[in-house]
Amino acid sequence: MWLGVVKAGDILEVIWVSIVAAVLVSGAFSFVVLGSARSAEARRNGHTRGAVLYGGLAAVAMLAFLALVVVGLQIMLSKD
Amino acid sequence: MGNDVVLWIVVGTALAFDFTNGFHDTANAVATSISTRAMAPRVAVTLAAGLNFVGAFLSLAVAATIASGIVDPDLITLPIVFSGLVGAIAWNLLTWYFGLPSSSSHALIGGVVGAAFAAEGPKAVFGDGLIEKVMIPALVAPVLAFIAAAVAIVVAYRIVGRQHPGTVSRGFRLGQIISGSLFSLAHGTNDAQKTMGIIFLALIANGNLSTSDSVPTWVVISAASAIALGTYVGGWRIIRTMGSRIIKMDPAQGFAAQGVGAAVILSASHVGFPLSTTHVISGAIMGAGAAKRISAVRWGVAGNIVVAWVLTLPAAAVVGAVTYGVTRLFGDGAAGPVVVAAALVSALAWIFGRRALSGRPLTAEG
Repeated sequence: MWLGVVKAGDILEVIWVSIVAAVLVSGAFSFVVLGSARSAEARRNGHTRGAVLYGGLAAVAMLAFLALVVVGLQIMLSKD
Repeated sequence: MGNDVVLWIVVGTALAFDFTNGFHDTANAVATSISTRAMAPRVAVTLAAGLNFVGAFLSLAVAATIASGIVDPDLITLPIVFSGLVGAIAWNLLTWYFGLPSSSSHALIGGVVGAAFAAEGPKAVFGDGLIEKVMIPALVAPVLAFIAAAVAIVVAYRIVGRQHPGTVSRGFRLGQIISGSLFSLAHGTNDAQKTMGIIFLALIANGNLSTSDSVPTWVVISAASAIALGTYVGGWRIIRTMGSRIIKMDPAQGFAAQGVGAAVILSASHVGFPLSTTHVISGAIMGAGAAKRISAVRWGVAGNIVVAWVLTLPAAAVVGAVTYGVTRLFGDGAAGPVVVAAALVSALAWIFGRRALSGRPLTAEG
């Protein structure tokens, strides 16, 4: 379907891709913050297992966040 | 070879536009970081300037030239390009003076459209191109960024909700350094391209290069340097508007606005629907504020910004058209552009000279 000169499909794709990307970026980094905070708290309270688990959550979330950053860089480099 | 005097005036004016583009758009990358104290102001603009410089070298896709598909390229001459640049510079300086973020790309398109219209009449302007490349993106960008940032900040608050505020703020401040850097890099790849494209076209129009040539290294370096210098100087009035006058933001909102802004711009770029960085980050800041509390957004300031967006294209077009008319008063040679360029430089020297003499900082920092 065309809205004048622009495909409605293109706009819908921009909308859903952007919202999904925004939620992933924000969610991933929020889990980094949550994991780091809980890990530090658990370490202070002497809960080694909790500290390791939340530290792992923060590390995985950080990797996901950095992967999204790399995807962004890839998009910049592959512009034509 | 064509007229080398006009060519070098166009090159100089294009670099001046590039400077105002960086100067005007510094706020897009650094306003939230400065506002939430993720970075000291001078550190933030230095980082943004460096990354804009690097970004200019990442992609040389000059095929995506500004105003292509909007004006008839066969009718474009050096005086039209010059007049369009003057229109864009004038609008960038006016909106900077009032501290209003507006799209430099739309200002440039408006300037070129106005000059082309004055020179060749309506046949030089493609209405469909204007709707597709300016009007629809201008409607989509802020609304999409607003919604995406609102969703993102709700997600962020849900995830970190019960943690100690100090720890959360420190975490998101670190995230802002990454998201702000990504934003600056993206800005360098997008916006320095416009100036490179214009200089490249001018060199082709003047007979110095052919379309099959690659962009000369001096063009890339000078465009990268001009946008980086403009970014470093910093349009502090706009930084203040975006950083603290739209909403009073916390680091989570700052991160959400910047992260969402980068995500939306790159997602749209990936889909092939480029959006204005200014419209996106402004919409994202408003969305991040409104999701917390509707009244947190100063809607009067937001309204002024929207008015500036609506006026960007027609205002730059009028200045571009008038400039073209003035250059033609002096005939078809170099006299017109020389006189207008001299008048422009004199006016800027007078304005900034008065500021310097009165002891006020040239860039209104602080």
